[in-house]
Amino acid sequence: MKILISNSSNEPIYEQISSQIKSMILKGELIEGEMLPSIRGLAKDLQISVITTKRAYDELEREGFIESVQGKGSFVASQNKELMREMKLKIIEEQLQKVVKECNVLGLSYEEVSEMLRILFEEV
Amino acid sequence: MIGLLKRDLHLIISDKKNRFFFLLYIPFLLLIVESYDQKWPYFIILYTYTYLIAITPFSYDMTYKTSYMMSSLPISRKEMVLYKYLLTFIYFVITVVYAGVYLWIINTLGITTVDYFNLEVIKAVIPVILISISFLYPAYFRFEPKIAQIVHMIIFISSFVAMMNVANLGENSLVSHIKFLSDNYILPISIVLYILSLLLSMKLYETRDL
Amino acid sequence: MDYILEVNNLRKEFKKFALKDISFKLEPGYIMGFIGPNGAGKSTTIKLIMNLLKLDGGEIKVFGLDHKKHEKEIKDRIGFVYDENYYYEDLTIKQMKNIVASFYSKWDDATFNDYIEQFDLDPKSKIKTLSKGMKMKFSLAVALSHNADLIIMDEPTSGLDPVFRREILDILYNVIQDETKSIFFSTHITTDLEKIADYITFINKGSIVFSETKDEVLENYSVVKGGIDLLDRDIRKEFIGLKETNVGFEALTNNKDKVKRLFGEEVLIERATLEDIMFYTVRG
Repeated sequence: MKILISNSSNEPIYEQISSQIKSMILKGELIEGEMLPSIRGLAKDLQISVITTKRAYDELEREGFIESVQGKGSFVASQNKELMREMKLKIIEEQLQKVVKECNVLGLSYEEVSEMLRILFEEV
Repeated sequence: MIGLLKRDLHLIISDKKNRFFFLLYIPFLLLIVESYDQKWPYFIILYTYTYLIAITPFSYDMTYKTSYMMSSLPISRKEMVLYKYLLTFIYFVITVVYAGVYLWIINTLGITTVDYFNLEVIKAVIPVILISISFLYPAYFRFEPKIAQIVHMIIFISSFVAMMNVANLGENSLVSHIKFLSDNYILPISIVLYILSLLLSMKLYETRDL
Repeated sequence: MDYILEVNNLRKEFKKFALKDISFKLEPGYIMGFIGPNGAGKSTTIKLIMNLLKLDGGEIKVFGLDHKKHEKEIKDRIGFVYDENYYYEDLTIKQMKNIVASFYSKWDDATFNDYIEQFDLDPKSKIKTLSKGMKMKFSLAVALSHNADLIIMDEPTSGLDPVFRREILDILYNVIQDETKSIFFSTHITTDLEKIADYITFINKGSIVFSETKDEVLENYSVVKGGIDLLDRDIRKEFIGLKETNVGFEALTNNKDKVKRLFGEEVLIERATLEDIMFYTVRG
């Protein structure tokens, strides 16, 4: 499992942790039922405060990504398939928005872009 | 209490200066105390050794501020005082054994004749030790080590000088002095004084800022 | 036990200095950093907790127990490391250890020997031959070898090189993996705390400036940089501390949003480090 913290980023550390874990779950890199590092172990590995890792885990739990069992640890929650699909769709939509923006800058038309897309789909 | 005893013994044995002193003090005393009565050198030896073993640890606390460390250990101020007062008796036993062996060797080797074990003297010296320490310990527990050192000097030097003078006065007064000291009343009085001193020291040390 | 260390309205008066109304609390499982400039009262506070000084007012509870009534019980569970390590210099490490070990009910010789080996110390060496760093390592080895639940450290890393300071932090992290143990750590080297501390208590001139989670502290405070032309008397009052140079000003604020509203794009707003916070608060 990989979590990297940037000290110089403006994003608070607990957010960096929770978004990286979220992304791993959404991408399937962390699977249902998999155990996460303990909040203390994680704090030690990242050399940060236990309160920060706890906050990250609390947020993940609030949003339904993980479940904590007293005395055992934290596990990836069984993901609501619908919800996950929706979230992934949202990410794709955001990325497509970026692509469209770039296309506008370049002056590409919808037809040119959908042609590119068709070729890419065929390659897969 | 074992911890304090260990500390005190370690301090005495580990320092070269101390070893040197404790080893050569007996012959030194024997040289300077000219007395017809064998009992006096023995008396002075018992007194001095016990007294010095008792105060040596205090001087280290002065140099190294170790009282901060010792007082951070799981021991209450009261206990520290109590154990120190109790340890005096252990120092005394150590002194009796050490002096006994040392002087016995000197006797056997024929260097000079000295008493190496005399119950009467032992009974006589205990009250003197207790009285001296009754005045000494409260000074160490209340005052800065530097000031307490002065008190120690006063007590030690005056009792030493007094003993030396008495030692040189001749046979009859020596006998009567020892008799006086091993008299039944002096010992209980000195014990009461010792206990009062203990209570005073406890009170003083408990409220002291280190 | 709710709090492993609880200090309420501590008061201690000296001739030229006084501790006033010192209060803070630490729960089991966390590290509290105690920061402040030299002479602020950090050592005094720790000495009061350890009953080396008698308090004039307030109360101190350790493990939920009154620190005077249960002194011995409490100290049996406290591992202490002071900035000057006061040991009998003529004794060897082993001898000193034997003396200290006889006072603790849960002394663990195996653990002590492991640390001594890890710190590369020779048990037969006399304490007077040890460098400051080595003495500190010895102190730490002792503090961690009697199953202490609370480790109290008074400026343990001042005078030590950064490499070794990192090693100490690693050791402290290991201690804290056990959520029943806590560490209380005073220092003026704030970079050490920026990583490891869970809570920060800041003391200045004998009073507590704040006692909060480190995250909150770092989120609330910011350093503002801008041109001198932006300053006027009212604006100066908005800041906690201010420094003016030939090329601009630098100031500390705990109200980022207000500053943004006042100046918008004309100033640079950056995260404050603990050192910034300490510097500007003390300086004014």
